[in-house]
Amino acid sequence: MTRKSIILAILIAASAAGAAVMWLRGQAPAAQITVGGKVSDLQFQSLDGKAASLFQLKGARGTLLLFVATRCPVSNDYNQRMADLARDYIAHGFAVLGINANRTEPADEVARHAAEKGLGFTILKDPDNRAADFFGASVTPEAFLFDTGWTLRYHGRIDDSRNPANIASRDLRAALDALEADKAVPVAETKAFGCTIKRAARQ
Amino acid sequence: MALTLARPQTRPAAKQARAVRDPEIIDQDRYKDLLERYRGKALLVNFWATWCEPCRDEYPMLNQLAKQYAPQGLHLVGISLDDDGEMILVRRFLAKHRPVFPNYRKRPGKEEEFINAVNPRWSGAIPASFFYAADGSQIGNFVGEANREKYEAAIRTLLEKSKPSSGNSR
Repeated sequence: MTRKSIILAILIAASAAGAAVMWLRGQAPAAQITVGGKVSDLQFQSLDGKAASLFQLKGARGTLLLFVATRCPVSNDYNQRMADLARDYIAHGFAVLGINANRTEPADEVARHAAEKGLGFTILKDPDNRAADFFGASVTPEAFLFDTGWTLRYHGRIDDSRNPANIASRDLRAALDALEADKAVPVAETKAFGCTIKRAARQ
Repeated sequence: MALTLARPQTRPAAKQARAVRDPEIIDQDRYKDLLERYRGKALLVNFWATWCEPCRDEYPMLNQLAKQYAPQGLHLVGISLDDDGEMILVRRFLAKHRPVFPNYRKRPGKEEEFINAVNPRWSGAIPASFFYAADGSQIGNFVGEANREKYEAAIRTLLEKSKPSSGNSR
């Protein structure tokens, strides 16, 4: 082998190595909090345009954030289950907050949708996706459950099946029950599935 | 006066939808089998669903890319994450776009196991495309929307990595 061909071979190998891994950032930025971490106060917007602080909406037993959508069939498949969760756990002292971070879904549409579907919990807008980015939320629906000290205790799906007839694992309910009983959450992290959050264009 | 009963007219879209074969069901084991079948080839696997707007938006582009790069050895496979109740929409979608590449449908349920089998670092969000070189290694992915330019750059890299001279094929 000539010296020139050896150098060429090295260059090709180096180039191939550089191109070997091209993990590209997904749509959601990397989360700034993981299970076990604490959240600082975050600002949202109520559906009538007023500022809303996460810490001021705290529940006595804990706070549940649900990233939701109006037009996502997956999120809509969970409307009844989310309404049931809110009904059951607000009564037990939890705050249940829906977060709509979709730039494509205006506040009035979100309000109409919530009323029509009887969701029964407060929904806030996350207009600049600051909260969605902080949490690394990527789909709807996606759940984040905090204890009274604002430690993230559960993140992920509501359960394991869009079709309620096929649910095998009610992960979010299990987490809420554990929190209520001051026990460790049995499965603290699951992968949420649903429609990607339609984020605002980055500056 | 005779009463003539007209035959019910079948809408062209519905008729066309019925002519399209339903995508074969795939689970995580069959996904591994599929990857094995494509060993030795440059493979792009795209996950989509009729309920996913960006998936619907990019699908025609993927179809064009499949045609454009097939002569260079690109193989493209689509996997729908639609549920059983969405099959009418799936049929209509496939009938409308007439993909030149095979499409499967993930068996509903066990989402997390399937997602982790594809890539444990994948959140499960779609659209998602995974690039497999000829040696079977997953060399990259897109999660979320990606434009044509990005896809073409990734495909060219994939094809380069899959050339027999790069030592990546069996």
